[in-house]
Amino acid sequence: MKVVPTIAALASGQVGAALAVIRVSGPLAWCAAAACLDKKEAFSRAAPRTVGLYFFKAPGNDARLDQVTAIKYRAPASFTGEDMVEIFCHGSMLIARKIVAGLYKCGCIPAARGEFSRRAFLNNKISLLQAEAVNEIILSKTEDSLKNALVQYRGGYVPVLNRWKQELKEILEKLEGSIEFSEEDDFSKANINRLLFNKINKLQQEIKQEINKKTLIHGVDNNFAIAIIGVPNVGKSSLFNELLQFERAIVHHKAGTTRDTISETIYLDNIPVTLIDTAGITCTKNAVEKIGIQRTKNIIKCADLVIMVTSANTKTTKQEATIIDDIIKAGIPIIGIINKTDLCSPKDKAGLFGEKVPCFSVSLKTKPIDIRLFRFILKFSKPYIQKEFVPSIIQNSRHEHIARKLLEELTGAHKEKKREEVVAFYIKNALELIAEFLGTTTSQEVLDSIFQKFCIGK
Amino acid sequence: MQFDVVVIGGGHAGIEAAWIAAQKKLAVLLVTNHIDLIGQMSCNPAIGGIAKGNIVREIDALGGLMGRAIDAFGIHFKMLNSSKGAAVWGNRAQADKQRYRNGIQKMLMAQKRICFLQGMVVALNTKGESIYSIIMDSGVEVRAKTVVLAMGTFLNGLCHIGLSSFAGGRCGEPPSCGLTKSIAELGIKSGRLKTGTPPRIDGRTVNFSKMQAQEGDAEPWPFSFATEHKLKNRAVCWITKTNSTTHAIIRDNLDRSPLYSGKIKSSGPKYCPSIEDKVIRFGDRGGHTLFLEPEGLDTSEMYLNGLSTSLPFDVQEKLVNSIAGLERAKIVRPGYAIEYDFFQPLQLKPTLESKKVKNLFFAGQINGTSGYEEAAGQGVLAGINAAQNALGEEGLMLSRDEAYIGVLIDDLTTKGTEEPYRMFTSRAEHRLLLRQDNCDERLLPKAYNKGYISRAFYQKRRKVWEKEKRELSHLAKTNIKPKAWNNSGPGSIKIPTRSSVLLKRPEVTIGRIYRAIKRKLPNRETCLRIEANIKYEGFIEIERAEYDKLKKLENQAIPFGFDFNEVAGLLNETKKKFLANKPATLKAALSIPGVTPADISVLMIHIAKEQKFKNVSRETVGL
Ligand SMILES: Cc1cc2nc3c(=O)[nH]c(=O)nc-3n(C[C@H](O)[C@H](O)[C@H](O)COP(=O)(O)OP(=O)(O)OC[C@H]3O[C@@H](n4cnc5c(N)ncnc54)[C@H](O)[C@@H]3O)c2cc1C
Ligand SMILES: Nc1nc2c(ncn2[C@@H]2O[C@H](COP(=O)(O)OP(=O)(O)OP(=O)(O)O)[C@@H](O)[C@H]2O)c(=O)[nH]1
Ligand SMILES: [Mg+2]
Repeated sequence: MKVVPTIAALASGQVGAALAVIRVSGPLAWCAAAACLDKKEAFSRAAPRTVGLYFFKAPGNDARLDQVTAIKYRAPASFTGEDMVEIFCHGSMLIARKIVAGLYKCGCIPAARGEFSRRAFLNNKISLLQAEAVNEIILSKTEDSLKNALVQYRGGYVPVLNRWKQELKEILEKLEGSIEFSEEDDFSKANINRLLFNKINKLQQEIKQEINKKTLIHGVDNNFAIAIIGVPNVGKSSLFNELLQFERAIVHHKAGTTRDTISETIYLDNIPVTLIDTAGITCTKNAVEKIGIQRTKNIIKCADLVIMVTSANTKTTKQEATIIDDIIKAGIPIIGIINKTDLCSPKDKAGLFGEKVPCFSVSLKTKPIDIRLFRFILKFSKPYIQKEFVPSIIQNSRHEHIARKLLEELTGAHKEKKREEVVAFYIKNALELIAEFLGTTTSQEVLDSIFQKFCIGK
Repeated sequence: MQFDVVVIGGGHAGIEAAWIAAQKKLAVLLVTNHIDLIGQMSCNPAIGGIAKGNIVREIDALGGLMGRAIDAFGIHFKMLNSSKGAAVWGNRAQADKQRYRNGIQKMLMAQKRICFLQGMVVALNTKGESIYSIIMDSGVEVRAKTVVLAMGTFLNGLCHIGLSSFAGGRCGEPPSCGLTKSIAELGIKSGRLKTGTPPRIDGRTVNFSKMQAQEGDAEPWPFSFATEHKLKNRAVCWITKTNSTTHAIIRDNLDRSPLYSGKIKSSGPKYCPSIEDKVIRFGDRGGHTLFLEPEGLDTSEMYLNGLSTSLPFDVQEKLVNSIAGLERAKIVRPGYAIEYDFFQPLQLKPTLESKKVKNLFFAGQINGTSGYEEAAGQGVLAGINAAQNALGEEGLMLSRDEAYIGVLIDDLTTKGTEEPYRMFTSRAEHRLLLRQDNCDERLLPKAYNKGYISRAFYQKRRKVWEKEKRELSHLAKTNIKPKAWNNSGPGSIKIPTRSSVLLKRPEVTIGRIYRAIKRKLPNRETCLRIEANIKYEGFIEIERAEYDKLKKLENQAIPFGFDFNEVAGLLNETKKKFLANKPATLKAALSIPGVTPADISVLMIHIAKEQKFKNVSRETVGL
């Protein structure tokens, strides 16, 4: 008889909170916990899902470690589907550590990353997509990604995937029918083909849309990124600090102060945005500065919005004009800030940005914290930060990867005109991809990579 | 009397088994109920078709008879699916039934190693674990080192026409009684299946002007790699359709159908359904297509393909007369259904040898298949393996990526069948590789190495393959310039491009390539091979990679003593099956009837989980 090991781990956050939660799951969960609590009988008699107050004593040590509450869960009515115990202690890392160590002495072993969820999956408590959604829920930073993950957790996107599967199956059946029984009955080829290809095309469009939605949602994986750029000494770092509301970057009257890129998260209307301060762009012989400038250029390429800072008291240089031109040509959204209006009127500089680039004048040194500045930036970021809730099947890079492969297969199928067996080849591959997406056919490697992303105790 | 190989049954399976075993200079005996009817086509007068045509070519490449026989006695040849890619082409021919039968007999009798004996076998004797002898109805006992069973539809055969039924192995012939019982006594389980055949029509009473003629191909493709003569079409087939009157007659008489009145309980071939089934299952569909096929050059009898039925004779007449062109047609032989015994092929090894009784082989319809080609394919393999056993040499097994015959036998022996099994291209996961053009390259070397093919013939075929290789490497080396290419057909190029790369494009034909490189076009057969090779290359690689992945998974061992009870997420029913069968590999687990790939997924993960646990417990991970 094989015994499934009982696992134990800290399930709550690591840094000094009021409480810490320790999870235990497996056939030994109840007796391991009982062995470490003072009122053993009371714990044994307690009904599942009721809370009891105990003292935790490490085995072999009669000293009371901490006062805790504990809850039992009876299999299969628990998160993992096994017998479980959850112990709540005071949020000291030392106490939590000692409690877990005590449980190890009583026959438990450390849980691997995501092992609680993995067991829940293996015991049929949640599907693979749900297990993933649990992780997305934990990791989501925006309301939209949270909403999306919740829909996924409730199985909301499974019907869509099942519908794709059904449609592909029907297409395959028609194709196979036409191949095997071409001379019999009413497989009037031309007609079937047109219908099939329309169907394939429709699916292609649908999957494309889902992939595009994903790029609109800046959720789990990547935030909306705003790069602050300009020539040296115009006040980029000053703006960066101003928006952060604390002195993060060094501000100095010497040009070329910022050498490396610095990024921080700010919240614009509850949406996390990554703000990046960069080295001023100029022609320089300094090797370090050169590297910094290269970094700036790279940042510009992957920014979602660029804020170009210039100062009112300097003459417009060709350099500045070129920078702006390049950004517009690359199709990256750009807004302008004219700084140091205390020294000079911004009028002369307005021409630099032209009509296409909205700009705003400030004097960061003399008039800090201008709420209009925030509004200005928000106004131009907003259209790019998806605000309307767009539910998307694609929640993470695994999904996106499969969806892109799916699209490739369908594109292959759609290109074929005559060779039905080749179309069938692509459709079969597509069907396998959907099964992979749904987690109905999973390989060990896929499972490993999914649950590796989880934290211990989840 | 003692023989190395005794074959019971002169049907398509038995013929091939006897013929191929004789190639090894063994003493072979073919025992059959009626010597004159050796090679009889029980049902339709046609050989080949989609997937089936590939099997005929495979039989030929292994040294079998069927391909040569149909090339010699075919009267109408047509490559099916020729508008699709070469991977799903299937050659099909109408045979002159009588000449085919006589021709087969002549070929067998020219082989002096084969002896014949007429009569019914009624029992088998074993000695120890092995087959020992067969007993005839006359009481004669024949000793045999190995026995190939190929009794077709004859075992306890029961024919049905309407609600009346009569014993018969096929219409007009007696059934084989007693043998099933004797085999069952060896511990081999039997089951019951059903099949049916349409009425035959007197061609002199048909109004062909109301039907559409279906001519054979202008330049027929041969089935056999040995055929060198030009094939000729000597007959025409005719196409007509059922209509709403036909369907109404069927619906009105279902109570007199043995299928629908509940008289026949065994399952019939899902994919060769009776007309009753078609109308009930698929509805009117604007009529079901029928083909009227000549049964031979010397007879006016015609086969009404698509109208398989077991309705009473008077209803059959009405049915036939409701069809365009057949208004005045007379039925020569009524259609009928037949129920017969088969043996669940899960009881066989991949060599078609019984798992229970050594040197006892099963081939053909008795393994739950349907069709001449499926039967003959098994016959060749069973014959080779019986001969190999008799000689004490290693057997021949074909895998799913080597031949349709491999797919057939793998399906039968690992999944079993609950209804007459027919081959389809979609059953082969390597469809793009198992083409009809390359059967000889796939199988001839195997048969040659085991001594079933003459050296002279092997050398001859090698020349063809070498020519093909030379052409392929020439195409891989030769560039085509845009000037020589653009405007010669659809699709253009900007830079000089290799011919083999251009030929990959679906719309590019081999003729156009050879014109562009100014090279003499090889013969038709070689062209087809070259084109298929190049066009499917990329796909085949992917197919193979997927299959290898699956194979690796399938071969994963289930640890000894693995507790299936512990596997949450399996249905109790499935757990019970695992506990009863104790499969040792995932493949074995999957082959248990009713087990799904999803179950295997769960099982696989649990096995890995156990291994994982072992690792974790060894580690001493701090918090
Ligand atoms: C009514 C009917 C309908 C059919 N319908 C279809 C169809 O729709 N589609 C399709 O693909 N195929 C159909 N077929 C099946 C096709 O005919 C068979 O698949 C094929 O002939 C099987 O070949 P075989 O060698 O296994 O057996 P058979 O061709 O049946 O040959 C069996 C041989 O064994 C001999 N024999 C039997 N018992 C003994 C014994 N005890 N001793 C000595 N000799 C014995 C018989 O005399 C005969 O020569 C049908 C067959 C029948 C009879
Ligand atoms: N007069 C005036 N000076 C300003 C204003 N904003 C910033 N400065 C000064 O300009 C100088 C450069 O400011 P930074 O923010 O370091 O400029 P930067 O663009 O980050 O410069 P580099 O990192 O060198 O590219 C500092 O001395 C600031 O105090 C302003 O509005 N008015
Ligand atoms: Mg700076």
